[in-house]
Amino acid sequence: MADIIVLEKMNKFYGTYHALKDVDLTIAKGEKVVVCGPSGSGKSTMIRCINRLEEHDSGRIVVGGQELTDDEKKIDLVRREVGMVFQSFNLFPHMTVLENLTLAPRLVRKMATGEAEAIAMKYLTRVRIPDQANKYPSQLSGGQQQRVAIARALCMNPEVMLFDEPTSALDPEMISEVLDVMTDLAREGMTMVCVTHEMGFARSVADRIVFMDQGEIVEVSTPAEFFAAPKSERARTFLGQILAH
Amino acid sequence: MSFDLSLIAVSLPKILQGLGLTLNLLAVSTLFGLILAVGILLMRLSRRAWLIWPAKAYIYFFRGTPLLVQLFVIYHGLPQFGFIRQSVLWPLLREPYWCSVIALSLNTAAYVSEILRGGVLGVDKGLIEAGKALGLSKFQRTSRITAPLAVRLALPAYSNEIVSMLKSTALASTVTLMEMTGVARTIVADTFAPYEIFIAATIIYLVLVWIIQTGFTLVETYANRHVRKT
Amino acid sequence: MKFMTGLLSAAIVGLAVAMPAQAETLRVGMECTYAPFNYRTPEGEMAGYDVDVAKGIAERIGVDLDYVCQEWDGMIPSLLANKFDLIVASMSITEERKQKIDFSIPYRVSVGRILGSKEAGLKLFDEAGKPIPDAFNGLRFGVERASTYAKWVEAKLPGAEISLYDGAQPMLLDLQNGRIDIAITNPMKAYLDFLSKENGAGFEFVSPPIDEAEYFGPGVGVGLRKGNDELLVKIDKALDEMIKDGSLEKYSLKYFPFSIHPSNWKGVGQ
Repeated sequence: MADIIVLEKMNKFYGTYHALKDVDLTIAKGEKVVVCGPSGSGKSTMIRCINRLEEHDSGRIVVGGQELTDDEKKIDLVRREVGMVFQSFNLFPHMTVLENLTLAPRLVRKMATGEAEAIAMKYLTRVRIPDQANKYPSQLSGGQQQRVAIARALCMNPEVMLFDEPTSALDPEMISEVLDVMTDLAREGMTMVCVTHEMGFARSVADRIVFMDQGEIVEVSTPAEFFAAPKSERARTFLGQILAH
Repeated sequence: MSFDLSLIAVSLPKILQGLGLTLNLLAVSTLFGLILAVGILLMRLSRRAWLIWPAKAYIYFFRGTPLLVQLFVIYHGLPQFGFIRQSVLWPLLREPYWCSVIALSLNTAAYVSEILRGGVLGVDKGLIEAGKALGLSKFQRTSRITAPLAVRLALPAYSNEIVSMLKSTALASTVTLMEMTGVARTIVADTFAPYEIFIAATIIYLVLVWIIQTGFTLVETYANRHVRKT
Repeated sequence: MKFMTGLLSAAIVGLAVAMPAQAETLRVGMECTYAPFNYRTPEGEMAGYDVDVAKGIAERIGVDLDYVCQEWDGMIPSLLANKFDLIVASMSITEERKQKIDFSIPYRVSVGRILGSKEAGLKLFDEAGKPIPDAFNGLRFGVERASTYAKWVEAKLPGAEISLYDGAQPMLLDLQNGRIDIAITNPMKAYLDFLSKENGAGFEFVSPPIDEAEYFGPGVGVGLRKGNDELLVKIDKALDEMIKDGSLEKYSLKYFPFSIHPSNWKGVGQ
């Protein structure tokens, strides 16, 4: 399988704070990777570097064959092939659900409105809320909003989907509806990188689990290995805390 | 002190003869001011010191000095220089109307650019990131996300600025323009009845303010329709 | 003892309030910026023809003066609001004003003259001294708001393109700057402030003295609130004396190189 994301010796600083330390990670097409670790471990920063919402300071990032540099054109090329779902949904509040979904296809892919709307309805159906197409985000529940956000990313027909703690801002009863959609997506073969604390999801969906702490990748394991016998003391402590809930 | 109610009724239609000029000054200055404000805003939001610094100085100067003084500098001050009177600008600066429009526009631009900047800073950064993640260009993010949301956030403060501008047009009466206050002052000088005449003018200004505020409330309600739950 | 003192001072205060005409001090309203009629010298002293007239009256009726500086627009309202007792501010006596206040006999005659650029070579009046309305076409005409000049211009030249000013100074400034082409004002003031100065070098009177009594009235008088007949009689008597003994003529020559009074001026009964 072809490698779609390659991180090599990537470092990131905020001022003097060393946020990411020599991160090496290669993700193949179709692979599902769950990134976990304590808060402040650098997981969000790492996936935000993949579509250059954060700029890395050294090392290399290659996404879909394009190396990320200051070159705005390449950044745009990468971004249109990489979908992202945020913790706080980030739906455009002044646009209806349908407008949220068709904006990028029309502006970036230069798609005709009718075609963009047809695709939008297809993905809204896939996330099981086609009836909400003409509502505004504020009229939807958190779970529905996050599903719209997933559909919005999918409308660009991306090669990779990044999820940055997609269920952390949700009420408990809404978490499963979002995870179900993500699980469906995984089964369909989407390449996914998910930062999440949902260990059940990780266990059932992930091909590999990346455990990070203090800006470093501490271990990379299969879910079976990771949950049964974590290699590092730090991972054991983390799992002890998170599974105690 | 006698008080003549009928004088209010009689003077109302006379003062209304100045309404056209009042609204003209308001509309033209507001338009020019807005265009200028967007330019200053873009300078202020840029990351280049040589653009930011003049914008800051402009805002500081025009917010920091009285509008009346600005008007007098333009009207009485500039013609003191012979080269101004020889210049191509003189046909414009010769006219009290254009002096008033220039002063009002320059002044409101400083305030409006700050009002709009407040709106821009109020837009959730996460939305801009969502736009980036979708591959929207900087121009597309600005025109589709930042600008429409910033305008919505700025509307309440902007409506205050328009009301403030309406009142500021009264200063044009100090440079011979016969807008509503100019007419009112002339009637006062003729009738020696300041209370009745200025009360009549007050009534008209209050009605105009009511119309402006109601108009903006409607616009705000429409612009914020996405916030309402159904 | 204390009680008696208090009663006594209360009685004195009461007397003073009850008899304003007998009061020791009269408050005189004027612009204080209208040289050479009423203004402050660089030393801060009140001076001018109006001030001399007011002093002359005070001397003759035996009172002290307090000067109250007031903008022209609010002169009559302030008199009516009892902010001062007399207007001695070169105020022309008109029927309109007489409906609100009383006037003394005139202590100076009112005339107006029009100023314009020398270069323009304006001929606005015919041989008989009447304005030629067509000659004013296309000329921007500066006039002081609600002045007697404004009334005359409105009546004689209804089609004129008028700019209204709050005072002579901004008007003459705009004349000098070319915002207006002609301006009508008091010739004495115009001569002293403008024509005799460097700023006014390019300008001249482009009209004869306009002194139509129908508009300019009998002249300039002392204004006072209605119902002060006793004081009015005293002021009229004082002014009549000052006209007859040549005091007013003497005052005028302090400020002007020419007499500002008509040679046939007789004072009372004019």
